[in-house]
Amino acid sequence: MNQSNRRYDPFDAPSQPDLRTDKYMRTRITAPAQPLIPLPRTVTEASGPAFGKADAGDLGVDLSNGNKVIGSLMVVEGRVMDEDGRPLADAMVELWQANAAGKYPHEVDQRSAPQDPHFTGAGRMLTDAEGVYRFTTIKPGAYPVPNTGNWWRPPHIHFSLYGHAFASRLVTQMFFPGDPLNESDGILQAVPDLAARNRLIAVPDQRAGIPEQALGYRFDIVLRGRAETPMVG
Amino acid sequence: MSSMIPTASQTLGPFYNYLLMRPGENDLTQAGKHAPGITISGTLYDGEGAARRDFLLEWWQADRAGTYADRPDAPFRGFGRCITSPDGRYSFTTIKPGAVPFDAGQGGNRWQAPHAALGIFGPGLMRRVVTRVYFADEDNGACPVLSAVPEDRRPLLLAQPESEGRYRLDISLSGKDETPFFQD
Repeated sequence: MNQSNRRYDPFDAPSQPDLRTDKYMRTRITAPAQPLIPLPRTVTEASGPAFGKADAGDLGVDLSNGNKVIGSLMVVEGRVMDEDGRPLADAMVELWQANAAGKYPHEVDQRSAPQDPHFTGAGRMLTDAEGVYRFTTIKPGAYPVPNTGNWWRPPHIHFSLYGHAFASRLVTQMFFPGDPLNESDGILQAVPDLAARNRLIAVPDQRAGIPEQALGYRFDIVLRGRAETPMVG
Repeated sequence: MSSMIPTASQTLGPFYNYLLMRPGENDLTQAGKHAPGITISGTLYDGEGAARRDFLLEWWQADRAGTYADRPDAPFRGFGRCITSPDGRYSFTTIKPGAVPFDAGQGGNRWQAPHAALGIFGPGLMRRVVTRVYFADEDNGACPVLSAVPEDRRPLLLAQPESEGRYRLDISLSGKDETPFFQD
């Protein structure tokens, strides 16, 4: 793709979380205290890693492991788009998540909850020509955040996306509709704009599911970047 | 033409899945296919001076001629990533990038000194922070991006040669010697 005719505007503040937020106290010691330095967009930010099918590796798109994984089977499907709503093909999509008991396969997760030996908790693929990705997995469980009183993270799936430029890189989380924990989650609520928060909540869509087997959810994702000159029509 | 708002960022969290990391992802030379290799390494600290594990660092650079890869089968792909170790260490092995045009598209002829863009995700970071790695043994004086950094903070962006082919650069997310971060 021709990178020189694309532009990457600064993020619109209320639609993105602040680096420092009282809702997520850990940010006090990790977020920079000095003001961010304005950076003119250069070829460094407007270019970015290009991925091919071989880069997706063998993690795969079906985390259910032949239905051996414990939990509520679900499919999550969505379209990755730029700010003009155009589908982004060959965008790398990665996801990782807790198991149905809210336990991660990570040594830092010290909570006493069961591991699921059949669940890797990670997947990766490239979007197709229409910008579409699709994973089969299980609905993750909620889990408590240590030393916070009694903050429980609502069920969520981590998403990592590479568009076509360094400037279009995104790491985010997908939440589930109707979960009361969404309202008290310091990480979701760190996004100031309500509409932007709502866009992090998947939409139930049985067309994405598998009849009598798997629930379906849609989660569309917009990455930064648009045409330099708006197209006519 | 529709106009859509980019999806909000959320933190990487403390439980990144290591299966997503391929062996050798922090080696841009592809095990020595590109030479001579250099290694840049250091420790990532938080605002309390604690070395921090499980931060994801992403490195993006041009090739020796100052050109960025734009396809998966480019000879030099220019991209690597690394997750900080339990003692907060990272390292990338790569080749020195060339100088990169700054304003060629607008008819200018200014150049950016050899550098890599570095994106950092991690627990406690609600969105990516972006910095750059320059090299102390290069002529950085005329780089228009480095010049935008307050002079007293510029040394914090310079990887220091330690021995043949080895550079060191520590990163501080906040606090004393806070690494200069750019608007993303």
